[in-house]
Amino acid sequence: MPPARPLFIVGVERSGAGLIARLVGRSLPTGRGGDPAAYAAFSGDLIAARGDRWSPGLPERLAELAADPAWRDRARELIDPVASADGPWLWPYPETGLLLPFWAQLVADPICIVAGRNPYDASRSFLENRFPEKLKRIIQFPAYFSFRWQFTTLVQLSSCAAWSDTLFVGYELMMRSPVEQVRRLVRFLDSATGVSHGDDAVWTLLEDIDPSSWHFRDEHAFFELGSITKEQKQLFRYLQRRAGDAAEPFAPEHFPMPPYAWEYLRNFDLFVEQAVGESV
Amino acid sequence: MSRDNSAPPCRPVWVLGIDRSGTSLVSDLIHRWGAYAGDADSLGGADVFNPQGYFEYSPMQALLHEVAVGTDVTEWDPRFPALLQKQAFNPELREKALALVAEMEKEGRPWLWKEPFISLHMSFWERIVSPPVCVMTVRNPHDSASSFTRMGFRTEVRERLRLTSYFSLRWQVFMLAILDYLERNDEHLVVCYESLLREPAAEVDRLCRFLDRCFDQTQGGAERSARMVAAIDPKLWRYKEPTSFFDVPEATEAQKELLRYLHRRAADQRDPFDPARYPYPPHYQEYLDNFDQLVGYLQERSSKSQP
Repeated sequence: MPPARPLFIVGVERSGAGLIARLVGRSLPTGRGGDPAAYAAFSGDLIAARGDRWSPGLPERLAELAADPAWRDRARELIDPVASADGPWLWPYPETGLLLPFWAQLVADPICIVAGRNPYDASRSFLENRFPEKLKRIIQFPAYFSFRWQFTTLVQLSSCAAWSDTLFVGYELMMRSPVEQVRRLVRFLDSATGVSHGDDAVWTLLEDIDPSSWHFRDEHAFFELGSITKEQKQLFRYLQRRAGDAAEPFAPEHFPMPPYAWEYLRNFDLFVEQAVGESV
Repeated sequence: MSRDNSAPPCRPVWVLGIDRSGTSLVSDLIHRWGAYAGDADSLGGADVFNPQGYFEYSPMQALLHEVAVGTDVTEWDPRFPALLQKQAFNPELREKALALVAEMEKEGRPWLWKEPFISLHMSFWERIVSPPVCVMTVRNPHDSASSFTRMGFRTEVRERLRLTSYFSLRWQVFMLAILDYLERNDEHLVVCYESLLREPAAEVDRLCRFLDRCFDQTQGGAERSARMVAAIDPKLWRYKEPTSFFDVPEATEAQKELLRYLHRRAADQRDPFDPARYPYPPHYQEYLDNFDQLVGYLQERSSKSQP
């Protein structure tokens, strides 16, 4: 019997990955989750083992760790209880996206759903939800978050864009046309998992979508902001095309990170960590 | 505002440059040349970062702060220079500025001001004071960044901090502001910090002859030069990064080209200045503003927690 396929749901923070995880979780009653605290601890150790998360060599270093028996054993302890299910198993931690180069080495034939949202709107949501009031009033966020978004997206796509079963879901499309997008999601899951869900599944999943919860809508601002690079705008347009089912290969060399981005990401995180006592 | 064509005896000499680029050293040289720097009690003391003093006239610094705050934007905002121009017509600020200038002119001889941020305030001051003689300092920004990092951060933060990109952006803003002003003021000299430390006699002589020319000093140049060169201690040339700025990935091509241009100006090659050749990267203002805000937030919190 072939091993159960893992289903990764990835996306930058506040991009709708959590919503998609809930929808998919209702479709896949078995093989879901794992221990969030254990996963978070493992993720932190992974990053710490190979230096800063904001580093151009992170994907290669994570792939190296995946070849290390000690790390593989630790990872298997997390995966095995979930992967023993009869059907596809869901790995619902969006931060997996940055660590995909590691996990991709340990699993066979993964399925992937990439959640995408306008980075400017995601940044405003992130700022609102993750920062204390005092910091929200004094810092600006678009450029920092766009570098964070760009790197995470590049790492994710470099792993999953060429997998045979990868679906891109646009948050804005999901909120505007929930019936069409949920049908699209269910069709994808049916095809990828070999399990057929009927129309009843669509209506059930629609219960989880509340368009009135769509805050921070300023979709044009991202393309008009002076602090956003040309490559970042092009990357978001690429994601929009993929969310519209364009069959377009991913070429990371078209969206390079500028060399000065790493320092800004690291220093911003360092100061915020000093200010709030934890990383964001 | 005095704008007649004769060189008044009390013309100012202003040192323009970013922090940690030799502005204090050059100020010391100009002071030894014979310029009045202000009452000693108002100049602040020396410390481990500047063993020979800062030469920063505190009443002038206080006014710069007041003028800047009144614009309601930060110095990194592209609107800052235009807003400063308007501040020059604020009667209260104008009166304070003129009073400061009068205080310096009381000595009846050339007088010196140095404060890095005055480099960003020229659109205010050029509407207040006669055109100063200017000496601009240029130093490898990578080395300046290294020096800057050692001031003002706790050890555990400093060990994780790298400020090459931040400081290069800050440096770019300063350099472009100064060069823009110098397009309107021909009486200036660009001094390269590294040249000053490597060839002190030649560079001091160059500076001395420039000042003598500006102030019609025809006698005693050799004595002035000797007094000035005695201030230079090459042992105080610390923080030389092993990697050349031109090889540093965090610096943009525009910044590297700007440093090359400044080196030519320091060698007295007066190439035309075109700011469009040195564009800022898109995120520059956000990084500069956030750095100031977050560091300020942490410093304020730290001072509140002191007993």
